[in-house]
Amino acid sequence: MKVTFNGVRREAAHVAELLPGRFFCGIGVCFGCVAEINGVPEVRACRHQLRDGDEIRTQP
Amino acid sequence: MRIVVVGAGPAGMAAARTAADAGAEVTMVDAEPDAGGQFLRGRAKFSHAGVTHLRNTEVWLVEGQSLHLRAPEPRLAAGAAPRLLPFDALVIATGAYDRPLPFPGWDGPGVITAGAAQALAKQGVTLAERVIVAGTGPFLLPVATALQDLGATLVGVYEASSPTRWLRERKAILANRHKIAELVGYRKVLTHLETRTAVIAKHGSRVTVAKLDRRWNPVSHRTEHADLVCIGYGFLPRTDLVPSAKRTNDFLDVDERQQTSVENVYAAGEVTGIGGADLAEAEGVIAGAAAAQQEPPREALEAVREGRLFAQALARAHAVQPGWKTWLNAGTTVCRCEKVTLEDLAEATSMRELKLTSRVAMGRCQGRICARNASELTGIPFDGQRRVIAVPIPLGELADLPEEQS
Amino acid sequence: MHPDVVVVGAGIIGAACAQALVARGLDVVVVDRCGPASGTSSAGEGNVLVSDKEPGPELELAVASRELWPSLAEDCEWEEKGGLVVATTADAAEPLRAFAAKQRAAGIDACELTAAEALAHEPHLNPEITAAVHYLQDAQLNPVKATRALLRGIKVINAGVSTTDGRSVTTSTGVISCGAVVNATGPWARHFGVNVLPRRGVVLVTTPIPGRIRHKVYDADYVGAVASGDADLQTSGVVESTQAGTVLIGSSRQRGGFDDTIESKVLKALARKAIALFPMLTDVPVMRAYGGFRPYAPDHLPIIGEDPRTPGLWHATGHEGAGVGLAPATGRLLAELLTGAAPHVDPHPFRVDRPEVMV
Repeated sequence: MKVTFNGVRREAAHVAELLPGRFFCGIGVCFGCVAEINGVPEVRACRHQLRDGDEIRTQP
Repeated sequence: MRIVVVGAGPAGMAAARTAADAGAEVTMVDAEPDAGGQFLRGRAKFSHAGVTHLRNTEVWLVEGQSLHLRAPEPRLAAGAAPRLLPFDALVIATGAYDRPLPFPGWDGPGVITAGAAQALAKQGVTLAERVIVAGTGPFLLPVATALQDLGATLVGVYEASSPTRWLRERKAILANRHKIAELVGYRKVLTHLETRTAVIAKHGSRVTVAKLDRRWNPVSHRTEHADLVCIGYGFLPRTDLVPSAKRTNDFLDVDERQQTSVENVYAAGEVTGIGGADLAEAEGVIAGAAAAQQEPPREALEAVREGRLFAQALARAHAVQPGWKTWLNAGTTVCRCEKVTLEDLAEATSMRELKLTSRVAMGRCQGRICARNASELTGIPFDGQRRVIAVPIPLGELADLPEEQS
Repeated sequence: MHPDVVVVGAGIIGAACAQALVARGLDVVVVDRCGPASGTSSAGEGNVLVSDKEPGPELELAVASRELWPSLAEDCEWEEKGGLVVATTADAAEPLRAFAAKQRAAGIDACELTAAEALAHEPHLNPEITAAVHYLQDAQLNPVKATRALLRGIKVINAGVSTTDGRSVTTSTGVISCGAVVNATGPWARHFGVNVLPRRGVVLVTTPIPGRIRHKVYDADYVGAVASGDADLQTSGVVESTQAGTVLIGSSRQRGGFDDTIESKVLKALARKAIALFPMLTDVPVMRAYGGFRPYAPDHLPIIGEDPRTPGLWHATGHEGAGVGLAPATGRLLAELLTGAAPHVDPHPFRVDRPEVMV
């Protein structure tokens, strides 16, 4: 999937590849992977099915 | 009669089917796009007359006889999903999640839970070449198998407990021979299995692997190289929706009809104790029948009785031992959200005091990952996890809540 | 063990009393059924406010406390952040200005701001405000750390107290005889004979958004909600951030015993009022809500003094939502009265012998 991650073009099969150290429980419990996805803030990225054109921005 | 089932894993699906067959109007609410839960992720094709399946929907509050619902990603939500769902009886089948134990480096890249690895594998994804699976309990084996099947190099499967503990559990084993047979399916990874062994530190790809004594104190160690360590030291239940229900060791207490201490609220599956999918399904059947005010089928009651023997044996054989607390050093992270380290854990007499002085368990996960560990590290009694708001909800959505309950 | 004084209750008021008594050379033991700051003290925002009090005895106590806090609040996240009170309707503007003028006359640093000046202080504030007053003295601390700081070096016994005759207390772990007893049990003080009722409050906590909200910002209608005696739900917009970057949103007031259920209608009202003050909060998630019980005295004044019916039994309670702000002066006043020293504020308005208080 071709996505934009923190403003940079990236190729990734799964959102976990973009979030090392943040992706942790993988099932929406730990909130480590929260990110802004396509303009929606505070999405638990682990539960997001990556699509071409997604824009992902990590939060502080 | 309106019955709402929360969770669409083996327990939830069984409860929904049973209740619908008994004539109830059933709604099954689940946060995932497909039924199946973590166990059957994506492999369950659920469709049953009398059951409405609300996908991509989270319950954030149970108030009286109504559930408050929300869509975590609005564009995925079913068009006209209700925001308030009234019920006459409620079945909690929300499952459990891996308990991680902290060690130096566990909060860095290359460490995820075994459940996360399993979820990724079910989507055909591995994150690394060389992987380690570490923790305790039989669940490590399917995770290791799934990773290996996807082509990962299994550096090791480390079980912190000793299998000889199972020799004391003859009764449980005899009643659950099929469970033992399942092990055969994992024979490919059994050659990588080392018992009384754990990962106690990770720095980059250098992983410190220790041999443990009976209490999980390290007695010797060596270095292995791995890019990914998947950890799981048992499971913690997702009990948020019924903060006032009685619990033991945080698992919901239920009677023989799967009813919790709260009237009209039933619970089934891993949220009542860890025993695997068969037990979860049998509990779901009983909960669904009881919620619909029918007599639970005898076979299900029998399956639960036998399954619980196994569940109790499992809890004994794979109980977390206190030696893990020596794996940390002063600067090791305990709470990932708020970056609270072991040395930050101030002296306190209650969990509330500990949280408010150290900020442990005060971040986004609200202690789901760290509260239990922080309690054991400080010796402060674990007060159970009682949260009013089960998942974070934007203020704008709160401001826009429906006026009156139906 | 025969201490001079047993303080019942290890909240911020009990801790302040114990600290002040120890500072005067008395031997003090604190008894609490759940440990330090386990009740009301940890269920608030840790505010030290002068802005919400009209001139009178409570403001006097607040000002005295505000002067004492900086020397006591060591390692307590003490922050002199200042308060910003805003009017959100045309009708509310003039009463806010008049209220601030009265406070200025009483020596409070209440500075009227234009809307533009208010926005310079709080860039995310709703520009539609009709009046704003900046209170430089308003401050905040971590109430649990503050309670612990006050209790440093003082013995705290974990036990419940069933009865007292002013010369001894009967606890769940035995009887302690003593010279005097201080009832600092907050909303539970009625058990020891004063008319204090629990007044429920709920606070929402958001995920961290560091640096976005700088002051304690609240709607001027808050003062009216505090002063009201109505049992029904009252809410007012009160917004501020903590040092961790989370935003605390209050406030609600409800009377109905010790029922700790959190209702969605309260969450909704709080969210609406917070967004009215800071529209950007719309997208910020609430990750937690917690509730507590304020110790409410029907005439809205703290109760500080000896019980004329039970010599040796002293009360220090009824501070409603202002206990953290009023604690140091309360402790000091109680210690002065108990040791026969000259009181630093007029104790008469706080006496136990008030018709609304004696039950």
